[in-house]
Amino acid sequence: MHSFRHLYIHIPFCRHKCGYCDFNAYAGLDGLMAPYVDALERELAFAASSYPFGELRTVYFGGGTPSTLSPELISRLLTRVRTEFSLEAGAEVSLEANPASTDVERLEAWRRGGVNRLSLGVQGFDRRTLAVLERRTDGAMAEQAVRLARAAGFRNLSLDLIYAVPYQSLESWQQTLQRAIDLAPEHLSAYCLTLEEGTQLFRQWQRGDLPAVDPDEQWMFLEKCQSALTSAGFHRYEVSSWSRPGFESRHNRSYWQCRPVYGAGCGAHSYARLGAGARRWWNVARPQSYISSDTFIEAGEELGPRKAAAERLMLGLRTVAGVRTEPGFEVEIERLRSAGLVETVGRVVRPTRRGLDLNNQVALAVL
Amino acid sequence: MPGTPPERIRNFCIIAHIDHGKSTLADRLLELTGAVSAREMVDQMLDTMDLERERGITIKLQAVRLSYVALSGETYELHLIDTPGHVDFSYEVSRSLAACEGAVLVVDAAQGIEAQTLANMYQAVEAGLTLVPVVNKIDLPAAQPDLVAAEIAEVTGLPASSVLFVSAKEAIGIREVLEAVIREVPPPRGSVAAPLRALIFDSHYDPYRGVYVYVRVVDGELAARTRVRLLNTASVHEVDEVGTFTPRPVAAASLSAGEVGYFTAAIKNVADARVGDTVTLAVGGASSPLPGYRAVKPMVYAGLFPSDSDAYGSLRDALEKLQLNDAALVYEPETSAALGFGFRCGFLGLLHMEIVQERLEREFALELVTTAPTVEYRCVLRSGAVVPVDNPSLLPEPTSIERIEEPFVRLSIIVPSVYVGAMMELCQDRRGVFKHLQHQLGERVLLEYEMPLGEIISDFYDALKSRSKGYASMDYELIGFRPAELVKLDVLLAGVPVDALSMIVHRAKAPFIGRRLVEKLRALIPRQMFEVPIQAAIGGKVVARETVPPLRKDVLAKCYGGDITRKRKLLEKQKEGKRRMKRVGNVEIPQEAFMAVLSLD
Repeated sequence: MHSFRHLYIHIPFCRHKCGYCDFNAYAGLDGLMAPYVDALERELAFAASSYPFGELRTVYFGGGTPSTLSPELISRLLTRVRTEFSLEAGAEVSLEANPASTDVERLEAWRRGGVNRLSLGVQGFDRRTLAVLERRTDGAMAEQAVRLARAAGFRNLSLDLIYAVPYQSLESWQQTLQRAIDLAPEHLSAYCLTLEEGTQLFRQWQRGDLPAVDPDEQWMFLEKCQSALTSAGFHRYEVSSWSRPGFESRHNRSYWQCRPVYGAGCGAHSYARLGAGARRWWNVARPQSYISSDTFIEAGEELGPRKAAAERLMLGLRTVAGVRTEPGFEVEIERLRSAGLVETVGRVVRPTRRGLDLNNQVALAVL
Repeated sequence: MPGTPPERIRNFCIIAHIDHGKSTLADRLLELTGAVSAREMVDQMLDTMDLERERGITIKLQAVRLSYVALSGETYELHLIDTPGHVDFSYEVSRSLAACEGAVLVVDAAQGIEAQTLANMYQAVEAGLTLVPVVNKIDLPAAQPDLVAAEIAEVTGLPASSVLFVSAKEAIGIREVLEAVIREVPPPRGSVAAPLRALIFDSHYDPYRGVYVYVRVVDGELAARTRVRLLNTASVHEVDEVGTFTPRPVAAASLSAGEVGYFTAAIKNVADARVGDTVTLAVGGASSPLPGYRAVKPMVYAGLFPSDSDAYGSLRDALEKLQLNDAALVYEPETSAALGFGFRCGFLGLLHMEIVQERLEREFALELVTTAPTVEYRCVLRSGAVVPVDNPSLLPEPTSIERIEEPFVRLSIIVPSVYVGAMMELCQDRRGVFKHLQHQLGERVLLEYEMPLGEIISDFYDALKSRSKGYASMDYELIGFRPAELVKLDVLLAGVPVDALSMIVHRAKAPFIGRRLVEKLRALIPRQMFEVPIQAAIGGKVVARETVPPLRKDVLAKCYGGDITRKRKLLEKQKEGKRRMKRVGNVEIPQEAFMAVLSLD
């Protein structure tokens, strides 16, 4: 097994479960925070002693809402990460934060613990859009969070935005992009809203209480996004990711490049490479079960060489830089090339702009 | 019960509109005569195929012998012959009516007489059958038996007092039905002394015994271990066994004039014992067959293709097995550029086609793509040769064609007079030629048209039913071929013709049909990586065009650690769906698209 150099830590707690959210996240379980952090510490110690780890290049606290953890609990975790693992110089340590819980005290704790990149879940500025998404933050809170983060010394900020929300107009999206640009982040993720089965919004849509936005309209939103961010000096390096040069998310890139990532915490996924194949496994999803579990793992899957290679292509072609071609996929890649979805440069195959927008078609071809 | 004198035999059938309770009444008759005990009674004994039970229609005929001790103390031998109730099988109906002397006419006490009942009744009267009128479902809260009895009296000319009141469901009045049958229905005529003549009115294939041939003995006697000749197919067989259905087959020494039963003779295929044929003795038999024999010819053709091309062999085996028991089904291999290897099949009509399709899918677990049904055209070439065309994609070069002829039918519609306007409009739309209008009893009208069969098989029945609120019934018979201005309408996807979507249509209607077809296809063909132009063309001339715009955005917004497995599985499922699509050039076509031609109105 190749050694892990990327670590993901899942924090499942939220103030409120938003209507669009299909992540492994829970509201009203704050009482479990302390035992959950205990369990995480156990898992980290177990992982460090059971799997090969190199110097960590990235650590990522995702959720849920990692910023809901009290300064004491997050400090404990950050310390534990550094005692169990060694981090390479300049390692990227990211934390997802909700503007509502981004306060001076926590910012201070994150800085002290070594967090050097914040991903702020802004999602939007327009009140109606935020209401449809059931976000309990507003533009003013987002602006304040950015100001405080800058004051606390964070030099690498990312903002999350969501587009193609029912009732959202292109004009309002344009204004949202402008307000985000005005906050001068280093990185922006703009996600097209997907109505995932099991979410509140999906049910509303099924009942006919919510209009869907068709893919052509979604594309218009994406176009606005691309032109606004490009002219503001950002470059699109992945389907939903834009950054200033040098500020691409190194952790996220590890997923698209199929590098081994260890995922700790409830529901977290780990990906390991074994020879020409790979193995993926995931932890038990519910916080309570995770806390009382000995082995943490719920299930996993083995990926044979062909499937592992197909995944590398499918994920690698989400990034503008592309991926090394894989032997045995010549016919598929040629078909995609003649369809104008990819181009090949030496041994690298990379998506065209159309190929990025039609990544599912790319994936269907190689899977 | 061999040797029952003819005066103690009654042969009858039950005719009724769908859902008026024919099967329930038949079950009660079996129960009361002890043919089936209440305990072993499977509901609706006579309809044996699952499909029939589900649809409430009778597809295969059956015949059951009932032994009934009448109130007079005499024991009678009754033969109940079941009849299918659909125009596709009108020839089979006519043969089973020919095997009876009487018909129990069942009318729902709440619904009253419906158009279908009339059509059936006229057919029975024409066949010389005595009617035993019954009002069924008198237990229903909405029942109006007296009113319905008056209605029956009016259309049949029988006294209202002769109409029996029955509830088959509650077993009320069942014995009265049997008493009326023995009182009203005449015993069979025919001579035991004359040379054997027996009418084949049905058959079914049994994997162990070969074909069971259902016969009504008209003259003479049919015994086991004799050699018989089928007069129309001129084949000779050695009879293994004769007997009657009770409803299980029970062997007997012989069947004599007036009796109904079966024989087996190691016949491998139902096609070798054709409905309507006459059975006689191989030596010293009758020389003239019973009237009314007709070789059954398919009226409707369609291509059947396995949706998974690996299943071609299974489809061939399944068709072979079905044909053992379905003499009307014909098939031959067909190759389509779009759909691969399959079979061009001939059917009696649309219902027959649907039944075959469903049986293939259900009993043989096959997934099929069916092309739109077509009739058989007759193409007269400049060279004088006549080429039958049952597959539009095989129509000869237009320049070599002198003329194309299409099958015409005489169509009769019986409909309440308020819908006459709507019916005439429909028939005119379908190129019908008006022939005759006649007022019937009960505010009903009989309309006669001559019409291309091709118009009838494209959704005509549904249109007829919907424009008459379900009251119209129809029947048709082939009257020959007539020349018409027919052209082949081709469909091109991204410039490539799709053979399985070609149709032969009337020139005047071609632009309209072309437009509707491309509109439907546009809705059915999913967006692809390329723009897909859809064109309908006659010869080289495009008469309609639509475009499926290319996909613009088809991408998962997020794909991080926890998303990858789930989303990959989602895509793998989608890929499975894609695999089921058919490819023509670069275009992926879902299987439903090939059926789009079915409902263009």
